[in-house]
This record gives sequence, structure tokens and C-alpha cells, in this order.
Amino acid sequence: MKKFITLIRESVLLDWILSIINQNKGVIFVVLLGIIFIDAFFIKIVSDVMSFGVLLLYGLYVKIFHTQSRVTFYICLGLISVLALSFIFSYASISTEKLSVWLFLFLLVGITQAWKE
Amino acid sequence: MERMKLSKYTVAVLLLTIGIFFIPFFWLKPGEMDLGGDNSRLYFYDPIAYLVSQSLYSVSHSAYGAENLSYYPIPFFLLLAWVKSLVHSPTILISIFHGLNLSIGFFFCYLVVKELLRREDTASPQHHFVIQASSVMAGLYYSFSPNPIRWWGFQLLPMNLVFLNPLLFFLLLRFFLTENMRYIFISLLITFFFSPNFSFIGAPTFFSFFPLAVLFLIIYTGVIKKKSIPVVKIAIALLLFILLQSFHLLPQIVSILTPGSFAHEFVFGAEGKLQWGLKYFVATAPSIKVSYALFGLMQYVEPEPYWKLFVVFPILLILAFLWNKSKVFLLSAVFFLVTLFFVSANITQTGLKLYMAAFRLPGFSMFRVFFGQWQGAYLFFYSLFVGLSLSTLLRRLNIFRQILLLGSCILLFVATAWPFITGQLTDSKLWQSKDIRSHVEMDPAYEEMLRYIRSLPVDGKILSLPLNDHGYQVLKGKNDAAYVGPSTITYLAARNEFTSNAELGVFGPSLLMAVRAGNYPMVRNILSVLNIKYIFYNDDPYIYLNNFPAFPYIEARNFFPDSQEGYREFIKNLGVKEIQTIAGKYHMYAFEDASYTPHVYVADRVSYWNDVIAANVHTPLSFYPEDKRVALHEDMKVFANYRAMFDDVLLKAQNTNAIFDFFKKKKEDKFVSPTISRKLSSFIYPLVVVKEKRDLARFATINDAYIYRSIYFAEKRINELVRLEHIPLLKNISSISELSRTWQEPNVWDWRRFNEYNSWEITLARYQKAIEKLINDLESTNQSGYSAITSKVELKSYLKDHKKLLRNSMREETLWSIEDRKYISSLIERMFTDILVRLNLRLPDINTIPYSLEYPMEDGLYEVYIHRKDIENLGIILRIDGKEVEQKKSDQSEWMRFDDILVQDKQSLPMQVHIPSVPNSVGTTRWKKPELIPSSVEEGPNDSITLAIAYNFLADTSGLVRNITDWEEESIYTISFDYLTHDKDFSLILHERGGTRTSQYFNPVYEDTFRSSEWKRYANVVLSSKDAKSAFLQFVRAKDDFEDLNDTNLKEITIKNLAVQKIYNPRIVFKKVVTPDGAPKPFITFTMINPTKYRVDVRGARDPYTLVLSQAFSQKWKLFFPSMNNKAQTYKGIFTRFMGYILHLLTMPIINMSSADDLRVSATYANGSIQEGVYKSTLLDANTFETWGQDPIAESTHLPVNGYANSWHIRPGDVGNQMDYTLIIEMTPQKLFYGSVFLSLGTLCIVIIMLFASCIKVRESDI
Repeated sequence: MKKFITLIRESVLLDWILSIINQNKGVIFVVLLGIIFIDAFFIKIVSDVMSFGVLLLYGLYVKIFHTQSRVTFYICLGLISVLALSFIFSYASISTEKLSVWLFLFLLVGITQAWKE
Repeated sequence: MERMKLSKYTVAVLLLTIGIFFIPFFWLKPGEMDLGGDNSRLYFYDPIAYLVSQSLYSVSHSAYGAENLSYYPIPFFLLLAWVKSLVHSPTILISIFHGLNLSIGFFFCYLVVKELLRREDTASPQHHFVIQASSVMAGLYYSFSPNPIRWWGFQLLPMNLVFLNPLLFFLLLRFFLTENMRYIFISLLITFFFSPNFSFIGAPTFFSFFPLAVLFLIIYTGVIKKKSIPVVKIAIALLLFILLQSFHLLPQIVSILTPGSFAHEFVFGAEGKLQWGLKYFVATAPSIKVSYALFGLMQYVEPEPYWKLFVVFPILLILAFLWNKSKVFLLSAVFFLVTLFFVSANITQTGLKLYMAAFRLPGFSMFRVFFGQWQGAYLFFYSLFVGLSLSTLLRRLNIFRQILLLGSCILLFVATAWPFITGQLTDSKLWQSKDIRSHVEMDPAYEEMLRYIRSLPVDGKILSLPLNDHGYQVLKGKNDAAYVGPSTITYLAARNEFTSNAELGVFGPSLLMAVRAGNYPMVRNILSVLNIKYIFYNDDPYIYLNNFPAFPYIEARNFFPDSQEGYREFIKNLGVKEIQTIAGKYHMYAFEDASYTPHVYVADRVSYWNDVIAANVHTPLSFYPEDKRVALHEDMKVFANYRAMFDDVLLKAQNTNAIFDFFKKKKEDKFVSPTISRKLSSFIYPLVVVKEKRDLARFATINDAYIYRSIYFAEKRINELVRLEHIPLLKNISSISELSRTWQEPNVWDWRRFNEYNSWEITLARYQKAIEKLINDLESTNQSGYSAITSKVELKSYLKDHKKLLRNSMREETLWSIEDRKYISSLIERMFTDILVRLNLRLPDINTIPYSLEYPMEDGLYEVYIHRKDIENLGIILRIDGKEVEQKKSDQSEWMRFDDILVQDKQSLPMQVHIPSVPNSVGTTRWKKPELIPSSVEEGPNDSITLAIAYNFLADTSGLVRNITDWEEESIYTISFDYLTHDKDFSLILHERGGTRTSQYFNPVYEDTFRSSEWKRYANVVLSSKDAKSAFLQFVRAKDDFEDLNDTNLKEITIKNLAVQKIYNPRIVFKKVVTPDGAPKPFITFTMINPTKYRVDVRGARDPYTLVLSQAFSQKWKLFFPSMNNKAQTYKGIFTRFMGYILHLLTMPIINMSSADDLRVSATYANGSIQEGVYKSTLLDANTFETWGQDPIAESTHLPVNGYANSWHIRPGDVGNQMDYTLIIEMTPQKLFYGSVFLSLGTLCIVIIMLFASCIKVRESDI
């Protein structure tokens, strides 16, 4: 098992993948936010696969790039702003509800990050 | 002196707190009260009366007087009573407690935030301002944000959580930080006086807040402040808390641990956990909005425009995260999120499933109304979070911006809470009333009536009229407002009362029906069994339909009179005597002794009745016209085990007519209509066929699951035709029956034939085959829980639906010509005709009704009765065991008597009621002609008629109509006639008109289509609807016929011999002839010591007898015969006796010695054989502990009688063969209360002493 892990760690492929991810940090970030936006406003179905999938990817993103909690809270700020607008225009619509859940999940991630910092 | 110096901030906050305290003083005008609602707040009006009526004893004063453990508010009510004795006004009392709630809630929320911030930061004076301002804002948010202000419209007893949560959190915070036990002692004292919040009813709000609060404090102290956790002190505090609350916790815990009790079922039972808890949760959770919770708004309320402004708070909270990462701030954020999860439930589907899984935990069902029960905790942590966030933001702003932000927030609170501050929000209009205000000033005349009710001499129950739906009472106040809430007679006068339909419980339906039918003897009998002595009637038109046209009378007014005039007439017909009238509108009536059974009596006759007593108590009681003091048993096991106890046997013969099977509803869940995923042309469709066959082959026996599965697959064929588009037609089939006989399913390997599935005709043939196989199965021996008729009737209803679906689908098929439609229509019609012929659902003989009597058919001579009203003018012939019996003279007005029957060695007794000629309900009516042309009608001889309609005009004409006379609700009728339709479709529709006063209906309730090419007979059976009043038949063209403009042919139907006949169900009763034993019944004098204890003095009890207590049956009612011989010899008995002795010694100085010897008599019944002593409500007297350590007697014969009451069959051996003695009937949880109340009082003394000691210690250390 140890050998296998060492092999993976030293693998050129992993280095290459990481370098690709590093080069496209911004793109990944935007894609993640895009997914949230699309989920909130264009997808009517509520799916945990989407929520926890995005959260897992964001967790990996945080781990790989050592992102500060401040970034997560900025996302939360963005979410609450859109949520507030959504609430003002449509009260508790599906979008408002989905954004509320996204906000809850990102706040949880942000607080965990901040506690560790 | 240093300690006394107050900062300017503190002075300002104190002034603000005082200001908030006085807000509720502007809500009520002098004399007005804010009472009513689901949870009565009558305790503000009269705390002591409420305490005595509702909390001091373990039985309820509502309805039958069931067990009711409501000890928990005793200290709180005493506190209210004490304050009221100082202020003398319920208005001021309400204002004081509302003010305390608001102001203390605000102040301690402020203190908690201040304490947390102060310990984080001891910086510059400017920061002092920030801390103070943030703390005040947290307090204001806690008291004046949109959510808490709405609570005041729905106040419940645990409403005190508004101030208790922050107050106790602050004291615990101080304790955790200083380890000073003084804070614990103060907290304990507070919990004692506000015990409702720490009781069974306060459990949801307690468990939603305090475990989280303590966890917060442990993390805060241990992890953030790095201090040790005072575990030992916490354990002592917990022990003292339990001891202090033991006066209500102990009886409640015992009740929870007693199998069969409501509390046990609620906590541990599947019913409580899943039905009561989870089901409610699942029904409500989807409509709860996370966003409303996040913005601190109310659920289930129409959004207000100003709500949009409250989006500002979550934005401020999140902004604060950018600059504050302190552990306290993060901790409060975590607790905010945790409570948000619990209050909203809809945080991801996984979260929702976890929440649902928690309902399997014992007791978690208390959170069924989770969005309300977590509000207290959520609001507190939200406010905490708001305070800490604002502090972070304010530090980053200059003074001008600080003031701007704070000012905006305060302005927002004041503006949005203005209706609350002015009292508009609490002075709501009463629900469904004509804008009647709820702030009521009690009418002095009604107060006088309440005093009179308390002084009524007889301990009988009261029926309050006008009857309502849910245990409410409507009273007009002295001002132009009304009280609508729990009845003041139950809650303040300590009298058992029926005020609503709901309280009548199992007796309700029969009483309501009797009232509607004007059957006064039956009404009197029911009221007599229910131990109703008095009728209170409020004839004020203001409180009935004038101002309350709907709630709370919606259901009751459908049966009871819907006007005050009608009520006066109703009361007059009851034959009661008016004994008091106050102010011309409050009346009190009393029943004569002959129509009243006392609360405690010796049963004159003990009878067995083999039917549900509550469903129709009048039937057995009608055999006792003179004396209603009977004990009616309905349990066959009791009859078998205690045969010697019974004097009479009354047996109702069972109607075994198979016609009832036509209307039995299967209990099993129906299937969801199958979905179609494979096209008939798909190459893998044959696998679908194989899978279905294997699925059915799984069933080893033919049971109900198999039947539903078979129908499911047959329905799948229909759905294939309906949902799949453009299925081809073979067009060369003359009959589906023929095709289904000749066509063989292709074998799996015969792939060339697979495409055969893809046609309408083959699919119909497969459908017919499946249905016919099922019919064969139903007719063979099977394991179904229902008769073949019931299953066939159900199958027929599916067939009707399937036919309808097919005809609709045929209509929607766009590629078909009119010829195609006619072709397939003809195939479908013939197929269903063939299936129905095969179903062979014949009606039983309606002239001869079979009955039977099963066990216990013991040997002896029986009197035979048939209810006179059921067979009026029918000229029936009764045959019992094959022999015709003759009618004879009866001394019963309601019953027709027949020859007595001698029964010997019989397990059952078959009988028949033969009705030579069943009346035809359309015999006296005539055909009515259609209103619309073109159609022609020709009447022939013998009531025959012909209707002809052109094919090119198929508008919805009225066809032929025939009125039915004497149509009765919930009765079975047969409809039969001969018809000839010349191979065309026609429909028969039965229309019913009926309903109640509040909801009328006119519906087509039955429809059938028929067709024939020769004369045929139609016969079917229908059940009339509830509340149906009239009906008529209509013969029209088939509803789904095709209009063909080119077809000039006529559709023609001829009908003759039409008959609509009621299926009669006469009541037959057998009464066993018993020679009276002549044994004299003992004389008794009973006295109510308090609602949980009765003393019964018995004289002349030579023989066994049955003693009845007309109170809701409970195993916890015990009968004691205090004597040396009955002393329990167990450890428990010895301990209890010892405790009783100790408590007797302790209470000697305070008890009322004289009340125990009061032998005055207030009423006598049954020629003096029953006397009633002056009833009392004595909590403690010289004999309170007389039964402690005694064994109860007659435990094995403590049985339910009369459908609800307690009875004991007492033999001379139970009382040491004495003839004159005293018995005690006692509700045992009350004894536990006596013991635990002393435990609580002892602990209270210890806590007070220790608090004083700790205060003195502090003072000495200061010196």
C-alpha cells in the first residue's frame, strides 16, 4: 500500500494534473461558482449529489491551493447578495431556497476553515 | 460604594428596560384581558380557580374526566395568585407578566452579549460604546424582530421561555466562568417558579435550548477560555433540579414508563413516534422555507412588504466574517447554523432524511412542530450572533457611520414592531368571526353564573349549549368583544363539562344523529349514561351565528339547532327544569332524578350487550325504561369469565345478508397505476411478458396481494393502449373473446411472432385473458381476507375505470377514421359485456334477509324483539331456526315482541326476516320528459317508455328522468329494470341531493353504461351518501358516445319494470329471560373528597353487587377497603405505609380536620338507596393518607362499563364479609404527587438556605 501511495505521489501524471489545475485555478473557481449559479436559477430539481459534489470539489480546491477562509466568506457574501435580491423579487422561490442552502453549506466550510486558521 | 456606581450606559439600558417593561401596559384598557386561543390563559383571570380546576388533581374536568397530569404549573399559578393579590386586577397582572417577559428577555440578552464581548475586549472607551451598542441591538433584535413579535398572538404556557432562555443562559454563563454556586441556586429557584417550561409540555422548548446552551458554555469555558469545567457542581445542580421539579416529573415519569398510557405511547410507541411525530413532520417540512428562517421571519404567514428590509441582518452577519475570526464569534456562528438546521429542516435532502431518522428515537416526536419548537433557541443564538457581528462592524466605522447604522436598525425595529408596541397585534379579530375583538372584559353577570355553577349541589356533569366543535366556549364580554377559548366551566369552576362534539368522543356520533332526528328519548338515554345532571345554556344571539357563522360551530350546527330559538325548543323537548337564570341569558337547567344516573351508584342490573355500547347505547337502555342505573358490559371475554356477575343478557342478531359485501372497503393500500417504459413493438417486450408471468408465479397462494398484482398487470395493458401512440389495428376481429380463446402467446424463441403484441386487439385479448383468470381465482378457494363478492365488486370498479380510459384514448387517436372508432368501440363494448357476464355479480334475494346469532348463545328462554320503526308497514314474517314465530303483545313502546324462543345446545341460531313485498321507491312517481329536442319519447303500457335520440345530435339532453321517493342516507338500494337498446350504448345516472346546513351537494353519484340487442334485465345495488336527502334516476345517451353528423339513424332505448328498492336491515334483539334473584341492593352514601378521591359508605351489603363510578375508565382508579387485613405486606407497601405516617405527622398542623367528618347529604336517588354527600375539593385532611400501604380490593373485577365508566364487582369476601363498611375510590397518581411534592418542597428549602448561605459568605468575604 505504501509503495502504491509513493508511486502515485511520485508519478509524473499526478504532477502534470496538478500543474494543469494550478494553471487553471481561476477557471476552476469560476466553473464552481457557475455550477452554483446554474443550479440555483436553471435547475428545478433539488439534488444532494450536486450540493455535496460541488462542496467536495471546493474542499479539494481549498486543500490544494491553501485558500483562506476569507475567500469562502467572499463567496458567502456573493451568495447572500444574490439571495437577498432573489428574496426581494420573488420571496421564497426555488432559487431563493437553493441559494439559502448553498449559503448554509459555504458558511459551514468557511467557519471550519476559520477555526483551523 | 465603588460597586454601586453605575455607568451612563448602564443607566441608559436600565431606562430602556423599564420602558420596554411598560409597553404591554398600553395594550389593554382597564378591565380588559388577553385570554383565549388554543391554550387558555384563564389563569391570569383567576389563578387559584384555575389551579384547583386544572392542576391540583390528576383528573381532568373536561368531558369524561380522564387522567390528566398537570401538576407542573402549580408554583407558577401560586406566583400569579400572589401577584394578583397585590394588584387586584387581571389586566395589570397580564401587563406585568408580559412586561417582565419582554424586558427581562431584552435585558439578559443584552447582558449575555455584553459579557461575551467584554471578556474578548477590554480596549478603549470607544469600544465600550461599541460593546454596549451591539449588546443593546442584540437585545432589541431578540425582542422586536418580526418573528418574536408574532409569538404574542399565539401565547402558550411555556411562553415564558422568552425571558427564561436569556436569563438562565446568563446565570449559567456566570456560573461556568466564576464557579460560584449562587448563580445555580438562583437559577434553580427560577426554574421552580416557572416549572411549566421544565415539564412534559415544556419539553420541546427545554430540549431545543438547554442542551445546546450548556454545550456552548462548556466549549466556551473549556476550549476558548481554557478553564476547568466544574463537573461535580454541575452534577449537584442537576440533582437539585430533578428533586426540585419532582412534584410533576415523578408522576410524569411513572406515566411515561407505564405501558398503555398516552405518555408511554407518545414516547416509545410506534403510533407516537411515526404516526403522530414523523407523519406530521413529513407533511409540514416541505412547506418550511430556509430563506424565511435565515432572514429571521415567520413561517406560514403571508409575506409582508417590510420583510424585504430584514435581508440586511444576514448581510451584516456575513460581512463580519471578513474581519472577525475570534473563536467566540465562530462558536456563536456554529450554534446559529445548528439551530438554523433544526428550525428549517430543509438543509439538503440528506439533512432532511437524518432529521426524519431522528423521529425513530424515543421522545423525538415532541419536535413534530419543529419550526415552532426550535424558534426560541434559534432566536437566541441569532441574536447572539447579531450582537457579536455588529460589534465587529461598528469597530470599523467612524462614529457618524456607527450612529447611522444603529439608528437605521432601531428605526427598522420600531417601525416594523409598531403594531406590536401599540397592542394592535395582540388585539386581533377573533378567527372567522364578524370582526369581533379579542381583548375582552368579563361580563359580571357571567361571573355570577360561574359562582352559581361552583355552588351546584350535585356532583354531576354539565352539558354546555350551544354545543361547539372543539371544547371551546364563546362568551360576550362587558365590552364589545368576546372570549373564545377553553371553557371557563371546565377550567375555572372545576365541574366536569361537555361543551363540544369532540369531547363527546365515541358517544358523539350517536348523540348528534339522535339530536338531528329529534329522537329525544335516545338523547335523554345518552345524556343519562354520560352522568349529565345539568345543562348550561347561553342564549345570547351575539355568541352564536350572528357573529360566529363558522368557527367554532361548523360541525355541531349540522346536527344541533342553528338558531337560539331552535335551542330553546330543543331544551324544552328534553324535559329539563330551569333552576337558575342570570341576566336573562345565562340559564341553568337540571334533569329530574329519574333521567339521571349519579356519579357513583350500585348497578340495579348488570347486563351483557354484544355490540359496541357507545355506538348505540340507547338500544340496550330502551329495555330499562324505569331505571337507568345499569352496568352494561360489551366485552365477550368478561361475559365468559364472570358469568355469575350478570343479571341480563341482551344479544343483537347479526344481519348476514351478502349485500353488505358489496360495500366493504378493502383496507389494503391500492397500487399506483403502472408506468409504461417499453413499446409494444420493442424487441425486448417479450421479456416484459416473461417478467410479469414470473412475478405472478411468485405467489404461492391467492391472497389480496396476488389479487392486486393481477389487476396491476391487467391495468398495465390498458395503460399501454392509452399512453403509447399509434398502436396499429388488425381490423379483422369480430370479438375479443374469440380472439383471446384462439390467440396463443408467442414462445420466447419464436421471435418472428414478437410483433404480434403490437396491436389493439391482441392487447385487449391479453387483458381479457388476465381478468378472466383472476375471476377464476376469486371463485376458487383462496386466502383473501374478503369475500368473493367484495373482491368482484372492487374488480368491477377497476373495469369501469379501464373502460372509461379506453374510450377516452380511442377518442384522442388522431389517425383513426370514424369507422375505425366504431369498430374498436364495438369490440371494447362487447369485451366488457363478456367480462361482466363472466363476473356474474348477482344480487342476493332482497325479500329474505338472513340473520344469525353466534356465541354466546347459552341455553335458556329468550324474548325476541324487532324494532318497531324498522319494519313499519312491511308485514314481515320472522323465521327462527326454520320455524315461523308469531308476533305477541309488547310492553315496550319501541320494540315489537315475538314468541319467546327456547335455546338448547346451540352454537348459533339462524333466522330470516321475510318481507313479502319490498316497496318500490319509484312506484308512485312518473317519467319526466326531456327538455331538449330532437329526441322522442313514447310511453307504453305497464310503465314502459321509449327514448329515441338521433346520432347526429348527441348534445347533453336531459333524457328520461324518474324521481325516487323516501331516499334515505347511508342506505342500500337496488335498481333494476328491463331494457332493449338495439345494440346501442345508453347510460344510467343516479343523482343525489343532500348535505348539511353548512355544505349542500347535488352530485351524480352512480353511473353505468349498458347495451343490448334483445330484452335484458339490469340489476345493481347502490349505497346512498351520507346526509343524502333526495335522489332521481336519469337515462341518457352514453356519456362518451361519438357524434356522427352523417348518421341519421336513431339511438333508441325502451325501459320497463323499473324498480328502486331499499334493502331493509331491521334490528333484532334477544333478551334472555332471567328470574330476578330478589337479592336486595345495598344502600350507599358517596361523597367526593376531591376529584381524585371518593368515600362510599355502604350499608346492608349482604350479596355481591356492582359499584359504578361514572368517570373515564382507568386502571389507576383503585378501590380500597382500609382495614388491618388489607395492609400490603410487600417492601413497597411497608415503605408506603411508613411514608404515609410521616406525611400525616408533617401535615397535621395544616390540615382541615373538620372536613373529613362532614356527613351532610346533598341529594338522594332511587328511593333513598343512594345518597350523595356534600362534595368537596379537599387536598389534605385527616384521612388523606389512610389508603397508603393498603392493597386495593376487587382488582380483578375492575372493568369498563357503559362504554367508558369504571365498575367493581364486590363480593362479601372482598370486605371481610361485613355488611356495613366504608370504601375509598382513589386515583393513584395523586398519591405519588403527595409524596413528590414534599420532596420538592424539601429541596426548595435546601436551595433557599444554601442561597442565603452563599450570599452571606460573599458579604463576609467583602467585609
